[in-house]
Amino acid sequence: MSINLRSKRMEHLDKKYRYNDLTPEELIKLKEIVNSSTDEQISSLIQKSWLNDDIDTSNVKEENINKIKTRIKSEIFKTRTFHFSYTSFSKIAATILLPLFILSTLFLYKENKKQESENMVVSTSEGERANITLPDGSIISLNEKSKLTYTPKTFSKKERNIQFDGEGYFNVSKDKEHPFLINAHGLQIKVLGTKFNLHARKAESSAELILEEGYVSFTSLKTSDCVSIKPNQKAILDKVTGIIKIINNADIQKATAWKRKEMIFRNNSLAFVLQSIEKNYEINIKTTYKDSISDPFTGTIPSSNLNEALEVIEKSYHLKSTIIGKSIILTDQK
Amino acid sequence: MSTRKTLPKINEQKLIEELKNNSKIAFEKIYNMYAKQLYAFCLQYIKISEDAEEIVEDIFIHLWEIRHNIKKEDTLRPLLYIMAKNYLINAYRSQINSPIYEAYINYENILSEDQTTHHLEFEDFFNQFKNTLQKLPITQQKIITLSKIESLNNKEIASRLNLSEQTVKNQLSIALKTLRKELGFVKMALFLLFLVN
Repeated sequence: MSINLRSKRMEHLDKKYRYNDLTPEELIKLKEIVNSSTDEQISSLIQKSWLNDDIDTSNVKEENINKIKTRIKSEIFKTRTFHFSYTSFSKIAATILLPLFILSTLFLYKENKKQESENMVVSTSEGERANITLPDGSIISLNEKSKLTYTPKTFSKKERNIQFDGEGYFNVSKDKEHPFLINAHGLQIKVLGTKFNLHARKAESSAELILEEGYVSFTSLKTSDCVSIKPNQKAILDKVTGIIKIINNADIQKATAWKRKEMIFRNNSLAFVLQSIEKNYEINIKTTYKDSISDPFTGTIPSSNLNEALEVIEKSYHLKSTIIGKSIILTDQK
Repeated sequence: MSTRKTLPKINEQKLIEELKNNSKIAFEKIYNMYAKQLYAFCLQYIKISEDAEEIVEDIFIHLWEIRHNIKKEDTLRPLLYIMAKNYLINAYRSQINSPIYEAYINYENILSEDQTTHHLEFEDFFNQFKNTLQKLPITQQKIITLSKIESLNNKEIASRLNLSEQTVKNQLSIALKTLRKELGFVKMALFLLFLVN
């Protein structure tokens, strides 16, 4: 079939699909076309309909639209989320002089109080990764474009509850008294103390969990089906049907490859590079060199070896690094 | 009743400007202008109202979150599409390939030959299947899923659920009888036909 004929056919079938007017044979044909089309091809078809069609809203119930509006308003206009930034915290501490010491402690105290009663949100943007340690000692490595939310005040009261969207490697500390619950789109995961990789993005139509160690209970919210997963198994949730599929002998190394990738930079400022290192290794970097450094950085920095990472910075900018506890101090090389 | 496709450009520009200035009123106006259409459009692809609701919710929340990044020259209709794009493509691909959707299309096709039966929306069809499945005792639900969706044989099911093979055979037969009784022969046959890949 020529390109033009094919896209006309697709348009015709697409319209029938949208208006629920397909015959079984037409469905098979449309399936074939959609499965062999790229996302861009499908997108241009959908976009054309959205921009040009007269969309029939006569069946839309006002109450549904209002219900959604209420949910949206409560999400964006009332909840305050607090993004915890490591560098701003250290900058504030470093620049306060002795007479203002009392003011600073008051500030820190207030910041702590604010965190307790509100949500703690840690998120990564495109190309970013981060590590988080939760109050119970659980460590989570976040891949890019991920978001984790929890309420510090109630975290270990009865259960350890978190909201999650994205991809992460979880190392959950053992606590039989307080089950660790992960709430994501379409699913809920319950663990007592385990290591696993979870890929659960709201915008995607399936979610996957690969278990390395321990025991996980995976619930599909749509069907209420609850499945126990053993080490080396992979659970795949189809969000459309709500059905969970289990695969044995899953490749854990492949699923967690994202964790071992290097951090790649291209013409980024040193400040940005240092911020990325802070987020990835969960440390604080204080800089005390005299003149500000404006040379951009291009290169890769190891994401699982802090000493090597610092060596790269030291060599590139003629700096010296000193490690004190969870802080790194960068000074001019003398 | 048809809805207007675009409002005069000057109104939108002003709204976007106000939105960028954090105006909640402008945000609500934009919602009132486009939410119904966006919802109806998403529903055409995803067929399930709960899912369409979530997508609309996500998109408008996202719109608020990125309000400062909107350019003066942008117009709302194309902007909303860019934000909905991935959701719609994924929904389309999933739904088209869904065995339950295929069962539904076949069911409707068979029905259309018989004028007296009532036409079902996909959502109702899907819910009937889900609800009936959930009426079964948990073990039977698991057995049906493992047998028909994961295509395991009785021996594999028995070992997975820690039951004897005979128990699995019995429970499977009881479950199928119940489904047949609740859904009617045609629906059940179609579900099972298309769920076995």
